[in-house]
Amino acid sequence: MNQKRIVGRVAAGLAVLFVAAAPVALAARYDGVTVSFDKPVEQVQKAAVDALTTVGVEIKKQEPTVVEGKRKNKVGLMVGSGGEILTVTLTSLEPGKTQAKVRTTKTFVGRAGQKVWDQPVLEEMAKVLGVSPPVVAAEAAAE
Amino acid sequence: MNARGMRLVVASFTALCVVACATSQSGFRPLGSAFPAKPADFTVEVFESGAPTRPFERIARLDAHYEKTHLLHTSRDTGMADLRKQARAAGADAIIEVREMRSRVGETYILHITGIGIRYQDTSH
Repeated sequence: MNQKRIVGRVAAGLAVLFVAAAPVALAARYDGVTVSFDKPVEQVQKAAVDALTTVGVEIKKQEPTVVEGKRKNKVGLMVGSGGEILTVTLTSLEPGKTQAKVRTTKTFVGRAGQKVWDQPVLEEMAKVLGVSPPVVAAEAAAE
Repeated sequence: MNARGMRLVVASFTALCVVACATSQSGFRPLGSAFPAKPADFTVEVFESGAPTRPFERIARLDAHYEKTHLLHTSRDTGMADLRKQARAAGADAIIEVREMRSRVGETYILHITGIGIRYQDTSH
């Protein structure tokens, strides 16, 4: 009887550990989308500001190599939407070439109605810069 | 819960929906020098396609963004009115390169309208 109770508790503990660790595992797999543009970092930064604005981001941080903001939360009948934090990090690879990493971070409030905005942001950045949309490898689910 | 309590809950829920089920963000980003705003009754020209034949300067990127839940749409007219307002604030005479983007996330309908505010260089007309 005592042994059964211990096995049950171990099983319950493992289940809790598995559920708790799952988002961590997904988070480790997803690290945004990285592409490069044949444009100087100043131009790509302005394109990032415009692109984030286009998807409804309220810009909170606007630095030469980092642009970040949050989409406002909306209350819906079922799930609502918004609350995602979007970050664009820029690295100057060489004069006239910039690497851009776009990352969507889902937040706790309204998580069910949140989505990954990386691709729409990159497409808009390409439009603003007047270049072809960058090819992006398959992306994992954002956590 | 009594009738009064129920009414309070319904009123609170309605108020929450009215306040929190829709958001709008509008603004402009100067592309170079800043210009003084135009008066509120100034008529901003909109070139849906093409550009004016008069010489002009691109002065600002204009944005109007709307999100509404409960499967409610935002009309293009609402967006364009806001874009004109932003153009006046940026000191623009007209808007070119208007783009309308619509998308959906669950029950939220999104409308984004963007354009470029321009200022005529030849003011003799």
